[in-house]
Amino acid sequence: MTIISMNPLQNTWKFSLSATRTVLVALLGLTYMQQVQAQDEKVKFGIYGRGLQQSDRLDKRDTLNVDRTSTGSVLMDLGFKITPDKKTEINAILRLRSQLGSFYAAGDESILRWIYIRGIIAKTVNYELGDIRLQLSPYTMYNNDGDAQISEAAVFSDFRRDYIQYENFNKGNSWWQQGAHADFSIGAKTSFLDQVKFDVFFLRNRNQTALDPASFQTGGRVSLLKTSRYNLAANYINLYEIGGTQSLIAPKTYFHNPVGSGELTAVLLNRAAMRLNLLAEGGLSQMNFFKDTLAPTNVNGAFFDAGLSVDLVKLGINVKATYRSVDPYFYSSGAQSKRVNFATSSNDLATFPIYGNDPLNPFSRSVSMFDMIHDPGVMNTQITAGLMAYNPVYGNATPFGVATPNRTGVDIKATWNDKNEKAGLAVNTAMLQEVVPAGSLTEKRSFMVIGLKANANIHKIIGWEKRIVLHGGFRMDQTNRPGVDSIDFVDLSSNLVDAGLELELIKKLDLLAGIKMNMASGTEYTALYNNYFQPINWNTTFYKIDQTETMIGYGARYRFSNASYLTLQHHLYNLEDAKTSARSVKFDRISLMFNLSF
Amino acid sequence: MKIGRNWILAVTFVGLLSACSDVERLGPDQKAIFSKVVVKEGLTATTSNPNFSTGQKVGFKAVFERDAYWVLTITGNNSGAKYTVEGISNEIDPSKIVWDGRASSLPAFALEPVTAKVSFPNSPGDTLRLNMTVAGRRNMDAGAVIVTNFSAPKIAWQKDWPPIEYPGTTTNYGFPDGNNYCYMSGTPWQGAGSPYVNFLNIRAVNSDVSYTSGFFPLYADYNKVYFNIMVYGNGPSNKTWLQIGLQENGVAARNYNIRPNWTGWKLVTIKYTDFVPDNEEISYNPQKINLVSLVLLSDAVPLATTPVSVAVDHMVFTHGGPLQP
Repeated sequence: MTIISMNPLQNTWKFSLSATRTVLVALLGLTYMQQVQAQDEKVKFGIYGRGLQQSDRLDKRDTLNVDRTSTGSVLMDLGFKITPDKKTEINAILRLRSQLGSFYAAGDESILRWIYIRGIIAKTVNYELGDIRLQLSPYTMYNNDGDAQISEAAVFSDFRRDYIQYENFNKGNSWWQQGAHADFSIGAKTSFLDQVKFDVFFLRNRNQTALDPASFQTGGRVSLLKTSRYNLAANYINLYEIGGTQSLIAPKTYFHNPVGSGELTAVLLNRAAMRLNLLAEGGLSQMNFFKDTLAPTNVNGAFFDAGLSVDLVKLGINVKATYRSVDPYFYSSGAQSKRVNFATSSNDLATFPIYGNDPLNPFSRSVSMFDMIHDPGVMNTQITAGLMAYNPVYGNATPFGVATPNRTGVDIKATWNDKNEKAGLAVNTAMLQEVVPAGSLTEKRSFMVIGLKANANIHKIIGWEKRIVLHGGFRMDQTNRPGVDSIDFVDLSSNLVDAGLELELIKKLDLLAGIKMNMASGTEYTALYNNYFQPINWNTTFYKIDQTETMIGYGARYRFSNASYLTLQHHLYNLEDAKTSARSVKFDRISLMFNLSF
Repeated sequence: MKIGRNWILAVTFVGLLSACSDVERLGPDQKAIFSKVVVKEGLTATTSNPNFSTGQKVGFKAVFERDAYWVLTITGNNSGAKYTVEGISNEIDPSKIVWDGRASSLPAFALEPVTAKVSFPNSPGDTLRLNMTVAGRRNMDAGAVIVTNFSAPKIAWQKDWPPIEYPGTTTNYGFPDGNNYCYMSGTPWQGAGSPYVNFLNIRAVNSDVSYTSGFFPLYADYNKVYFNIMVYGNGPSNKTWLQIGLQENGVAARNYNIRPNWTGWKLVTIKYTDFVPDNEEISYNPQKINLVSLVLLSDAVPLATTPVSVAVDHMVFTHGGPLQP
């Protein structure tokens, strides 16, 4: 094989294969791939395969587009795990991908998708080097869940999990980044301390370009643990640019965004029936600008978040109540970067980016619920300084998670999970307010969020041998600001509904159905920021909006195993804009997806 | 630990971490931005006849009753050149809003009367105006290495090169840099499917400045070298294809292709490192550039009989970034 080129943005290397190429399995035929057993235990293999064929159809009201489009691809991710000795492990994933409809290898690609080395030094220090996952606290380094989802039906979550999240390396709330990480622990075994743990990391954030300097992240965490009593930790992360690395002579400005916090989890009461914990975190952030005489010097902020968590062990109930206050200029790149990139240009959307009837004035689609489930290109994997674009119709109270700046108030969550996994219920409410007025001289916005999600394994409740699973969720997000006229007045209301059913008809063959609906109406202004992350103007895109997005999905799924399945689904998407009816659009997609993993 | 001691420590910990912000308000007042503007002082300038050739600059001033979103646009009455700056504030501060004679895009300002206008996008009926006259043009080539701007070429114009046409001879595309441009046109002449229409070569010794060393005096740091050319496009259906070549002392050649499928004048800036070398083994050496070539090609159908054309102007090298017209 010969290395052809390296794409620094994706950190992938493209290889040209020799003449003999493995022909990948056609979608509509089921084949069984033999698991490769290494003769030598030092080398192990794993395989993930996916075949995806999609056919889209657009509403007849549109006259700008071809009404039907069809795309598809097959891929195989070949995973290697090499353990040359007991202290070292090398992991890599090589992807072979072919676009359906191309022949003689046209449109095919082979890339190195993931590689990292990990091991242990002197039986003490664990290290990782390469493509690694990292996570600290929700205020320092945390990949918040994507938007527009609450107790999502399997007919949608299968795609979100096995396609969107897999393609973007999303797992839990960690960030997938490139760099190095090391950790080690020191045992204490005293009455007040069991262990002190140290974590440090160094990540590459961005290569330099003509206008932007190279940027990196360094940070770490020190934890003091007395397992049965408390966990005290200090977190630090700094996203910083290296001045002078941009190609242009001027400007050579750069910035640093250090964030530090202290966390405490303390067991206040530990009984067989009940546990009471104190949860608290507080910290500071700075935005420091260098070689820029026009830059402000006070883009600094702080936060604190404290509350109690009660576990009623025998009942399976947990109640958590916290109060937090986050400064208007609290900027934490690792915690506030969003998983969905709402700034994605409509031209970059994979499905019907423009529509309408007037070729000179078409409507441009923006990132929607449909794209979040079907288009990996709208997702973001890079930690970004400042506040990314967001869509308030999908949540205006905390678009950047708990680290959303300029918020203060109370969060209460209650969850119940049946010990036998028959059912689960979660209720949450947040009553928040702005710390300082934003866009008004005196009036502050107030936010009310009420969420409810439930799931039930009906088959376990009634003792049925075949699966019957119900999902349901609802979230209301209300923003208000009083005003004497239409400019000051803010009253955005959005309601998200998620519901779904899985019904096993015959063994391992499920019928799937689900619905997602997001209804938004009212007025809100979103901020436009200058280069110093200060709001300087207001966007009126969401002025007196009234729209409803609906996605209905149904289909069938055959499960070969827990991780392998074939599914045929039909998703129907509808955007109804009551204010501008011509902006309404409707399209649907039929998807055939085969997932294989072992 | 007993619960009592736990509570004391917890409250102390939380108290130490309590946040307090000294920010009173976030962002400009929306009511001020979106409401009708009340002007307290109209638009004035530090001078009404700026001479940018001496480095003089013009500061603008206006005062409003409260914060407003304003846009200041300066338009050349003859050239159509524009310079735009915007902001949100209750005043336009002459120490911060300063014009040095540059344009935001082509064409550049000429010696001409100009109109400065302040508009308010959220209050469309309110506008402030001020008339001025450019007494001296800004030297856009300060620090640049000029190849030619076709105004008074010193090059030995070869008889088979395309003519330098004055505006109004065959075309009248305006004055992108305030003086003449070069109009190239024709049909492919070599036959056998060759796309070549016309070309011109400008050596360093024959450029407008006549660099006697034989090389264009460029930085050694190749990442900081840029080539600029003004190109007039005839729209998306244009079948013209322009190839710019750099020769490095006969040892190496690099090319860059431009498709002028836009309409009007456009400043095209190309990083030296974006020129494609004819040999991947050669290293970057901008200080060895001794010749710039311009080749007009065609991919029209039918190739031999469909005329193509392009106008070009102001070929210069700059350091550190694009030319500012």
